[in-house]
Amino acid sequence: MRNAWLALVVLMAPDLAAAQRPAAGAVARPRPDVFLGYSYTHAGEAGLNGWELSGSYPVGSSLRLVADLSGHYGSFAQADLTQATFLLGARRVWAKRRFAPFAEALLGGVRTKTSVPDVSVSDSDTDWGGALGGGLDYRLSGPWAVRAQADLLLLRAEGAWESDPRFSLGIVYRLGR
Amino acid sequence: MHGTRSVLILAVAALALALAACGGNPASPSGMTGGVAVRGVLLGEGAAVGASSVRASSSSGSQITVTVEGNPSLTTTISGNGTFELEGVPAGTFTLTFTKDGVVIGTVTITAGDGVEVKIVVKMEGAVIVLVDLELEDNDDNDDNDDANKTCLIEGGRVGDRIELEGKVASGGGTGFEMTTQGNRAHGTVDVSASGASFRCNGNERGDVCTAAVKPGAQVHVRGTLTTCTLEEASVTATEVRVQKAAD
Repeated sequence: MRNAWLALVVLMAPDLAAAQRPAAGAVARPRPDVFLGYSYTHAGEAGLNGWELSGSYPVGSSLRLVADLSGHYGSFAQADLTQATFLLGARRVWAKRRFAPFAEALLGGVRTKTSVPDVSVSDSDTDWGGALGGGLDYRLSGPWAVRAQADLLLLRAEGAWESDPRFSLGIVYRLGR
Repeated sequence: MHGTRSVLILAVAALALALAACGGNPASPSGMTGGVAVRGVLLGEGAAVGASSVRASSSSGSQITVTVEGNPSLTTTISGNGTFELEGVPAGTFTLTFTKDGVVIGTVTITAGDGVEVKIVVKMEGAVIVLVDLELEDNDDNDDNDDANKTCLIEGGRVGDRIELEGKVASGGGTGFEMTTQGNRAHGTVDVSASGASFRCNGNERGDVCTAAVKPGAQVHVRGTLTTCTLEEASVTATEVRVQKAAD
């Protein structure tokens, strides 16, 4: 897991420096965007469905600051499971024509709640969390785009990182003009 | 060119990581191929009152594993969100053993037939695991003989085994009462003989105060031995009665 973090930092390092100076010959001025979509994660042994909402703000030609929220819900055995994530981080974008692949590294918190309605028992906990992954935007007309994204959702529980896959699909709206 | 290559490498890496994480536990292959499937959730300590919890997790040396006693190949580690799954458990009576740092911290004995899915909820209570809820769901299409296979009104109950029940006192009180169980675990009331049991209340009071609190409507947790069980009646000789919530 440490290697995965390291790889993303190395990948993004040149852009952190480039963010300090204007990009020469930039095709289009990067704009903030908002993403909303359906999301699925396989948390532990349970498949959970939900949503993901994220926003990004450009700090250079290809680097963006990202805030990411998601909520996933489902049931397993006799328990109802809820998992909410609130993450912040950086995204590196390689925009080319209509396609804009990206990679991102996020860090924040994961709140999990388990309740068993039959016996009125519930349990919740908040842990450090993160996400490592990437995706692809396909620009539609105007400010709209569609996005497919895959992450490894990370959960820090009792001193160790655990990872679960998260897949999201939705629409992107670019702000400003 | 360098950027395009990075994108491709990253995309492949992300996909590979995501798919690898989907792979699941080799001890619990997806798709039930026979036997019994056990799906469970472990709640943290203090779960009932929503306090901060002890996670069922995964730091080095503190993982909690679940093993089918006498069948070490059927083992799995409880995930960070408390879920666990075992498939292909041989039908019949089997015992799940919960282990942490090599120490057994709880056992649950279950009787289930082929094609049955066992849904189990346990929680940490101090340093041990206690049963909260158990439900057996028959996924076998041919369920004509299901009722004939049941011999005990308590799901998973077996005479002579240790048992834990949680529920409300229906009648009686003190050292002899009948209780209903939570989660439809028992299809009827269970007689509890608690003359030799220790009594505890939430709040750490013990003894006579707690014995007197065992009356209709009180929420109790009973530990003991299942002494008789038929489809009509069941009785437990309790070793401990814990009053979780006093009667209104």
